[in-house]
Amino acid sequence: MTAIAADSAPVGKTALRRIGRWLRSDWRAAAALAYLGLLLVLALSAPVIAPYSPIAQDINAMLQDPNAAHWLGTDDLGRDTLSRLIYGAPISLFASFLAVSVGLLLGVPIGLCAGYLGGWVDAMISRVIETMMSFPGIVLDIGVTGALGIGLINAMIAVGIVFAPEFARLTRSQTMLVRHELYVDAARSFGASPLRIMLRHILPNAFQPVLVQTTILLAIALLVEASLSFVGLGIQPPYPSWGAMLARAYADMDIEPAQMYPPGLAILLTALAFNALGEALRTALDRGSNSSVGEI
Amino acid sequence: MPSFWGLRWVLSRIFHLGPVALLATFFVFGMLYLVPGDPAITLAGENATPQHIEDIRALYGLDRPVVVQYADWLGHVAHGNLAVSLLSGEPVAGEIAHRLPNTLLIVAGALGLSILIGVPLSIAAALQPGSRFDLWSMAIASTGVSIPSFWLAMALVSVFALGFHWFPATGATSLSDGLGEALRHIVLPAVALSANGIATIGRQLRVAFADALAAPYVRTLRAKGLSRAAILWKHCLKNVSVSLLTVIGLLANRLLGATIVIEIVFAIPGIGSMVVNAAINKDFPVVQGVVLVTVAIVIAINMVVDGLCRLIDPRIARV
Repeated sequence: MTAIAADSAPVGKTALRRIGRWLRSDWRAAAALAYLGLLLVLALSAPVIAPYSPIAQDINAMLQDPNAAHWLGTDDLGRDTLSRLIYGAPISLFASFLAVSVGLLLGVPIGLCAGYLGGWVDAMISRVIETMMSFPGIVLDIGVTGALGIGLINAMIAVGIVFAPEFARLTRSQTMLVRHELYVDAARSFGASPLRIMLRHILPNAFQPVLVQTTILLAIALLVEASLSFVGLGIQPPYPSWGAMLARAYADMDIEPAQMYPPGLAILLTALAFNALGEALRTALDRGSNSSVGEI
Repeated sequence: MPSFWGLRWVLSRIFHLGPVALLATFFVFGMLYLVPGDPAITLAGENATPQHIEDIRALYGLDRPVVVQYADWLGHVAHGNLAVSLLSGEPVAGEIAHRLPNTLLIVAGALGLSILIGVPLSIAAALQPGSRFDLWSMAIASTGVSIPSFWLAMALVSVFALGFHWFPATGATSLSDGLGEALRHIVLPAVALSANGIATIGRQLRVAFADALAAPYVRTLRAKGLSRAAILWKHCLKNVSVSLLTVIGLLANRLLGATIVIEIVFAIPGIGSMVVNAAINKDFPVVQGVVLVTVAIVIAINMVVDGLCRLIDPRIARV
């Protein structure tokens, strides 16, 4: 019995106990959660723990190898790489959460309406979802960012818009599964409004798959933020995000190649943690809902 | 009978994909309306002369109703006319046609590598479920999904181009300048791009093979005395090829996106570096042109994948 929240039990003591049991049984999930928790603490306390300002330049300490004063070396403007890495954490994490939040807020209501209302509304929304998913994600991100104007917030809103059809499709299919269930008919016969039925009776069923999708899209958002900031469409100088740090490291690759490794590893580990958490959640929820053997 | 099915399929696809393709053009056109404020003024940029703003307004016909603008624009697109770049004044279609081969070469190379390495990997892992090889290869595949491909590209350049000088660090040469040199230029970009593809194919097919091997008929064949490998080659491959085709379709979409950043790393004159520069400089006709071409490629690939899936598994065709 390692499943968590197989039925929609109210969040309370039992849920917490189940999560605890799940984390003890799945070391991947525990490690990923521990890493992400640590990263969050690091990100929130960046001003306290970072040894230098992330934007303070020092012409006497340009492109240094790791040393006692600068543990991870310095970039081409003499800025401390460790400090930029620490200050980059809240920026990169904020960007990922912003993109996924925009995707959730747009996609879930649209998918709920399509799945519950059905008919021509569903047909139309489904066509739009299918069309949007035909665009390569980053290409659309770049186009929408170009239109909205470059910068981190606009870029992440663009990524959120691109995520929306994924959430909409998932919510729609979950809604279709339960919209003719007895308890939904019962609610309807009691005179509950469509809005109330959707929010109170149908939406909770979509919670688990949407949670898994959210976790996995956080990893993708992090990678896309790094890509967009790397090419200059995301965060603007002098502020650090891990992608922007890679852009600087790229410019000085022939002189100080080591500069590319700290931000690259930070992106890799964080994306890996989000992905591992998502996969572990999916396995646990699958096991809980239909006791099938969870694959990978 | 097959020709009848074929014709029916083509017609049903046109009915199905027609709206999707039309909607896609509408989205590409509508991107202009995400520009805040007066698009003409924003696109003209700072220090624009009133004449320049008027030119842009005339180019897009921004003073006319939206439907008329769209119909007009679509008419031009249908004739292969993608307007001219606001920066260079060159026709966008010509520039894309000139750069597209560089992009497609890398994507094709990466796709080929992904299949050549990913498929055998998934078979080897699925044949020994739970073995050390299975666990390790799938753990590495998980890493491959999370690795930023442009960072991998930088690491490859740093080691194999700047360190060992085995491959050129930047640029591209066309196939007409000699096959060897062109291939040398695409090795590093294709390898960087394929990490994600190998991991995706490996993981998805590992599941598909495991599902196929768990089917009841496999148990019967095992009882007859066939080895797992023989069953896999003779019976499961056909089942799994539908999954493979679906993953390839998905991957083509993803690689076309990821190649953009790779092109920047290697300074490859493809459509990726083109769209990034255009987006930064608000050269919107170029942005729209590239987005339109990539979505057209993806829709075309999806159509081919869908057709092949129906050929392999006639059950899909009857739905």
